[in-house]
Amino acid sequence: MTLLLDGRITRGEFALDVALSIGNEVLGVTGPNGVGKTSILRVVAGLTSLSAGSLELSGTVMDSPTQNIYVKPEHRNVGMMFQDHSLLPFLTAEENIVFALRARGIRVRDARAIAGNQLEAAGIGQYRRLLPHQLSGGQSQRVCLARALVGSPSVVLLDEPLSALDELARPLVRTNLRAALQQLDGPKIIVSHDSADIDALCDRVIAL
Amino acid sequence: MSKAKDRDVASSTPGFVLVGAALGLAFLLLPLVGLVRRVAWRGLLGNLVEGPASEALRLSLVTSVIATCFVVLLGLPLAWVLARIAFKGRSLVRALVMLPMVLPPVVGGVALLGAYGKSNGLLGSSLYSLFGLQFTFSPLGVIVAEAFVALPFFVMAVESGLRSIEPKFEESAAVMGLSSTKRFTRVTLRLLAPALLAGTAVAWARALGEFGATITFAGNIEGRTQTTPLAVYLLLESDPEAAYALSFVLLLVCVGVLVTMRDRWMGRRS
Repeated sequence: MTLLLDGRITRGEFALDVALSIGNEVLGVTGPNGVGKTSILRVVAGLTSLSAGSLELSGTVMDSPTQNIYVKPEHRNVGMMFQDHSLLPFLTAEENIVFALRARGIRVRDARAIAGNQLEAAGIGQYRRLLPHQLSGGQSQRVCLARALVGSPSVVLLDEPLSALDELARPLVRTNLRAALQQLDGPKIIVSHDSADIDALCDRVIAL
Repeated sequence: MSKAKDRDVASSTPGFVLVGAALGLAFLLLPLVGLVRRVAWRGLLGNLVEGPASEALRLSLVTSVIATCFVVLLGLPLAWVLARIAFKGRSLVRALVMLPMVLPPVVGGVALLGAYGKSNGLLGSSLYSLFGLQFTFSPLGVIVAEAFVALPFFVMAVESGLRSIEPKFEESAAVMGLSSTKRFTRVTLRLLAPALLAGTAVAWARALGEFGATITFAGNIEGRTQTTPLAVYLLLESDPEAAYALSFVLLLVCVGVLVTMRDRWMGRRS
């Protein structure tokens, strides 16, 4: 599975030209604020469309303004973790993960089992019945992370995945995440400010 | 020596402002006290379940609930379009939607006659000749009049509710694989629930209290188009006790609506 992104992202005044080829690996993206790191993730997920060029996943064109092709986010099978935690506020931690699995067409009973396992594996099983506003920033981020990795996504996109974790929790979560990413086939992109996270998690790094 | 301390200069209030605020509050509260004082508590229930009062309450309840359903069905798509779709003339459309809120209700009634009147209404004459539908002097007209004045209140509350939903929730649902319809029903509507509730409550209260458009457009026939506010107005002459009893019921309903809404109308949260 290969992701080919060669194009221009325009948002208002700002334009970013990107040329990336990502195979079955973890790519780290670093760079100062406002340079467009998150925009790359949004383009791959289909939340922003390219203004020029093309995006291909395993030979299928996902976005190409010249060919008039744009595949909606719901048809891209991407697992994405947003920087500002986007857990649905009316669902518990576990229900949020079940929701993501159900959205991918997995049956309720299976979804519950997978969600439970995922939370246990991430070491946050004790928070399963809490609502997002009852979780700390770090706990909420770990649930978001678990949610982005479930349901065998073809592409994984993580925006500052460990930023809300304190120094005590961070190393273990980082090790777990590394292992989880290795088990998933396909291109994975991590945006981060933290060089230790990038070093530990990524096979390759680009700086914008 | 005490430590340096910022003084809250902006809220050090001059005396005359406090006096004005007290007078303003008294001005609003005095009529309510006057109303409650005149209620004949012993005969309250009797006044409500007998004669024109009970007929009016029943009619008001039925028509205002149907009108509110109608308002929700039409208002939700309208609010969505106003909140989510950027198009030329959006502020003009919004102004038109809000118009019944500031329009004198009697004018609203006259306008409704022009549109749905049986003999020469724009749509009303064909609706009558084709389907025998008559709005004037019928409960149908009451429903239309109530919905007409209540719709803007609902749209306003729901539009501002839609605007306050952060895009990240619907975006993450899209990435998870939910179609736009499923995102609407499973994410947007759930996040919108408080605004929907507030909009529905305030629209219902407005429909329940409708007077001017109703009497102009639907008339004032006991049992058919005489809603509670119309009955209050007439009973004040013939049976003041019943008029005060009905007024008290309307007051209670409005207090209930305010408690439901708290400050959610207009999208404010404390």
